[in-house]
Amino acid sequence: MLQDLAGGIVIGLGYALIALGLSLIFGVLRIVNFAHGEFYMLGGLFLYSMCQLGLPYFAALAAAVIITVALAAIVDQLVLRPLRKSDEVTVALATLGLSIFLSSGALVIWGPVPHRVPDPFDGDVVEFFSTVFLTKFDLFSSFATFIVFAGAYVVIRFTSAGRQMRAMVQDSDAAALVGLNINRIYIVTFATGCGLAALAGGLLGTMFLIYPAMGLLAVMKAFVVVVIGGMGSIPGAIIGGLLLGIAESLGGAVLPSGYKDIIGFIMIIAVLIARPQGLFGGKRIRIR
Amino acid sequence: MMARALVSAAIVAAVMLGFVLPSLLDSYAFRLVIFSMIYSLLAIGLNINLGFRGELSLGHQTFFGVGAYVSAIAATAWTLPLIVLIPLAGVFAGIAGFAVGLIALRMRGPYFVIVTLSVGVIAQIIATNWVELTNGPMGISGVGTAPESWLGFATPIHTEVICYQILLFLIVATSWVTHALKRSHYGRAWRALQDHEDLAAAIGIRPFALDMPALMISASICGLAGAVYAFYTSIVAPDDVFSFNIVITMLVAVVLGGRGTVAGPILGAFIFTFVPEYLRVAQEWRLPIFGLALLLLVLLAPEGIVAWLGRIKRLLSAKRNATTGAV
Repeated sequence: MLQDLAGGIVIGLGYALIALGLSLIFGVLRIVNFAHGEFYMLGGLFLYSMCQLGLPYFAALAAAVIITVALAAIVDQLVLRPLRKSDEVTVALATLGLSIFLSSGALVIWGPVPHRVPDPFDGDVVEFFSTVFLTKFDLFSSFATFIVFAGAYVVIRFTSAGRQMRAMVQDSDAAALVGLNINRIYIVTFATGCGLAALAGGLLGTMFLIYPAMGLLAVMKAFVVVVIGGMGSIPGAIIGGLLLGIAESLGGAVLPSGYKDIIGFIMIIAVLIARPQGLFGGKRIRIR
Repeated sequence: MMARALVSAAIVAAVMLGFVLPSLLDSYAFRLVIFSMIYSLLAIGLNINLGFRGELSLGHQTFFGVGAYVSAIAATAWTLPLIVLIPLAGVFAGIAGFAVGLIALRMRGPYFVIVTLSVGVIAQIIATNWVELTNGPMGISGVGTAPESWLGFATPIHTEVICYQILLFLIVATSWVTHALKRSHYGRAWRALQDHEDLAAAIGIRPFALDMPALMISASICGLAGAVYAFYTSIVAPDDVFSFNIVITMLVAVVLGGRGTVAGPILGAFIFTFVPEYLRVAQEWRLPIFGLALLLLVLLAPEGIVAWLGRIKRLLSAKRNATTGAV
């Protein structure tokens, strides 16, 4: 029971990390990024390739995130920039096309076989209260997630970039009117959001396996988290991630095996019926 | 009236073609024709929701799956023929649409997309795990293998031809429904809602009362396609009928052909089925090219082929008018 709970928290923090980027991109840019899972997948695959090239684990992880960020910036300029004034459905279709392109392109390049990245701590296990066992990597991953969340909070709250993003959230036209460089905010936000997904892909990919189809399930989990927590809310992403991770971990121990993946989607529908803006979402969302 | 004669001629030609095509084409190409028709029907269904109401659904494969399962289960349990099962599948898919609508239609934009996406995943998980009803991941096989199971009596006509004619009838009927809806009060109200929901509501158009029929009709049409699919492939498995790829195919067909047009979804479905097959690109590069095609389409021609053809036609007639000096 306690072991399930601890496992759920570790996974839940991973979900929160994927969802943070998705939530950031939606909150600031109003883009539903269906290709988010693909940047998560690319983070994992770049990490694998960098490790294959002989880079030490942490350098490889950093390189994977940086490459993904650069790729996301290019994607933003090529694909999303021409659609800045388009309606939500058109933009969603574009990210959907991007998602198919990236996931199937990765399948051609890396092949369908799942890869394993060596755990930098050699699978060392830490014991708590002699009942809960977590690997050192689980702890590292959770710690890294906390640092990222704290960093995101500080950046958004106290820096100029954060103030610009918040101005965009309030009114993007007014932000442009007072002279903010809207295009730069778009690139930075989109690339950062995708970079966070890549980091999550590296961390979770090391815990499990890395393969080109891993993005679809990840983006679905991220949607669950974001809907539960509230689109565009940072505390929402972390609470939503933890709730989903714990619910799946505990539910998986109780429910028949085939039904584990249904939990999140039932949660989505329940939340949307009871509190459509999500647990931490603002009231501005349009729902009848 | 010119257009009406043209459409009638096209329908008659398509009916005649159905009897000769199986002998003209090899069986693989004919299979592509049948699948294009199934996808046309699905795209016509999705178009009512996406093109007329402007809401993106990523869960329409659910209604296709419901139709396929209803007909497969009823066909194996009570040996009912397909022509009886098609309306039944449509009704059940419509009911499923109503149930989904009760939740999903409370939402707009991204939220509608996510709810429908969840519905699709939930449906697939239930179909995989409810083994007593659906036979689990193995699926239900042996549907429509007996030639008399299609129409309820034996005919000398090959089942492939029967399948083609049934699909043709359904495509014509649903296109006519689409055309009629587009010109009806409903069609005008949907356009008003799409243009500006608050303004439309202010002049007395009730969004929920209009969205529900759109979703239910849209779902029913997908259910019809599911019933024919079950008989044609003779196997219904959760990973096939509830596959995410189905809704992607529908979506590309609608966007390619033109959202909100009558002929667009059919055109889009045929192009999207045939062109990749005959592009003869390396098998493995096909899917990346699909993705890229959708991307380019959205960037360069978001209105689709039909609108594009219309623009060329207008351009040509404008040029002709200019040269002859007519107004």
